[in-house]
Amino acid sequence: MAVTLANLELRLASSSRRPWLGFARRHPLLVLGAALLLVMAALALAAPWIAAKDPTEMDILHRLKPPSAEHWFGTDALGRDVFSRTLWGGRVSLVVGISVALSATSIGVLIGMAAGFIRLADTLIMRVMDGMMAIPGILLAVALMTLAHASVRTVVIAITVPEIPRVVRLVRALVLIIREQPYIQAAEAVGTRYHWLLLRHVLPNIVTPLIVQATFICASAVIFEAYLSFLGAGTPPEIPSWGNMMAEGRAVVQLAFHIILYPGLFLGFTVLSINLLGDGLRDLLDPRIARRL
Amino acid sequence: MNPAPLLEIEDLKVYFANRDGIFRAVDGVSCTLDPGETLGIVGESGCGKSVTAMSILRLIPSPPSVVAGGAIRYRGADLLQVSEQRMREIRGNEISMIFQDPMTSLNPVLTIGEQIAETVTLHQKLGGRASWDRAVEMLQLVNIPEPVKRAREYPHQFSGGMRQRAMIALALACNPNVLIADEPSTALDVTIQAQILDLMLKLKQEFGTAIIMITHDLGVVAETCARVLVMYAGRKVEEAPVADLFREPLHPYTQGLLASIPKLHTLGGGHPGRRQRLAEIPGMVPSLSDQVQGCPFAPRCPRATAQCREAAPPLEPKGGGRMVACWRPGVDA
Repeated sequence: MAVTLANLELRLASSSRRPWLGFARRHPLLVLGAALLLVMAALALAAPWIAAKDPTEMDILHRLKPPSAEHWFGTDALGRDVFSRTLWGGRVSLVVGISVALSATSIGVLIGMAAGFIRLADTLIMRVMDGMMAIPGILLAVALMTLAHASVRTVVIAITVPEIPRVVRLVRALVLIIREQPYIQAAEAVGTRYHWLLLRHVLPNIVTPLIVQATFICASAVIFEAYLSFLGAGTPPEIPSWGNMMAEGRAVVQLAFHIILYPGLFLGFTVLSINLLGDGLRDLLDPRIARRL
Repeated sequence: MNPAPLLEIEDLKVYFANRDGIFRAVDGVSCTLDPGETLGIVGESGCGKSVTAMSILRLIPSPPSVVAGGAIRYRGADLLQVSEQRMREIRGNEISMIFQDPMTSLNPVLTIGEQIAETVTLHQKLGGRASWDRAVEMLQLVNIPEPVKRAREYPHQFSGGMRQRAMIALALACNPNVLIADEPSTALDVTIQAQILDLMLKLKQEFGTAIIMITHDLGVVAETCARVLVMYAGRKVEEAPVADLFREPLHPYTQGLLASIPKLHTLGGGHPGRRQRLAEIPGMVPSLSDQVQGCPFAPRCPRATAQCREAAPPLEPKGGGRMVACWRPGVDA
């Protein structure tokens, strides 16, 4: 008993001296995910400076070259530098991931709160959402892409639309639980206005699960963008993206595996880091999971 | 008698309709509340106490509820008829409510101070700073130690008794004329209960607030109320000044309630070594969907006669501000 107590005090003391270390020990997934994601984001942001070569510059004499000091990740079928293309491609992935997460969550919150609070709207909205969920997301996105000129913005829209129903369902379910809570009735009993009730009393109570959901949407959007580009229905070919690169490398995979390997690795690590971050945030923000010392 | 009462409920009927039929939660209840008075409403679970209270603030969702009749007059205006806009002005500002469970009646993501200040801002048209000061002042008034610091804390940092005190602070922040307390001490342990009741009485004197105290605990009634209304199966069965009710209950249901309070001498005091059983009222509260013929209490009543089973007794004044709905009142069983 005395030993454990002493231990406890020691650990308390050490964690208060270096709070950062204590935090990392308590939430290893969160810290690992955030660090990995930061590295990915830094590489993508710093692409123009780190990758000295133009990602779109072709060099017919040096096609399908394996990794070397000149070309760190080798060159592709048109002699373009895979390293710079991978870094530049990361920009597309992150922009798409973050924009989709933000737009799908905010649109989903608006629709979901309406569904949760307005009885009449609920039936209508939820049937439309059920209908949207019946169509496989990738097909819906491909269909949306064919309607518009290919650009990063259209990709974002095409991926956002199939993600919205999931957010709507989550928000609606949460609103239905929270609006029955006694504190909502108590707020009503002191004369709180309807819109204020929604904004100030309901919304803050659903923010936590929403943040977690947003990170998962972000990860799924990054993969989705790669799918679409791989299928040729995503980011236009003149903009390097991981999906594009893997689609182009597919034909020569037996000659030059590295063309697929590097964007694939980057894609995998990015998605992993976002998912780790999401898991970590869930543990951090969920009060029901006991805070371990 | 008195001039106009502050609040007057007249023949209120609130029904709930669902596929199993109609539930007569409140079936013709009338009562009055004078300024500064404390009125107790007692009865078993499900007898319509809370529905009556919530109806005053129009807090019962409709559907499924239907106000089938009656009026609730507050300063002459029928609360069942006024606009939703006017109702919002009344809620929290003129008529406030305290709920049973202090653990869930405060929003977990807002600080205590924010929740009180918000209500003050809403009704008193005060600025943010002034509202915050008022919130701190209210917390001080309900004996929260270090109110300045505590106002910045969240509900989970408060104990149950402190939360209920914070609820009282919230309910009284705008100095309402009427405070409806729906089982304010039920979820608390006995010592904290006493503190909360004392606090409510002290504040009532300070602010001149009239209180409607809803409870199933006759002890609470005896300590706090001037007049009591006994409800059974959605109806008012007896009304009396508190002393009279305890000295000489007229309705057999009230008599049963009083007999079922544990007393020291019944716990083996009279006959050493031999304990008397605690008196109880046999049977169950009738389902509110049953169409009762006759007195709703007749099936459980020790004195029921054929007359009781045939026709419901009317509520009759018995003098001295007393009323009872019984064919054979007052006779001791």
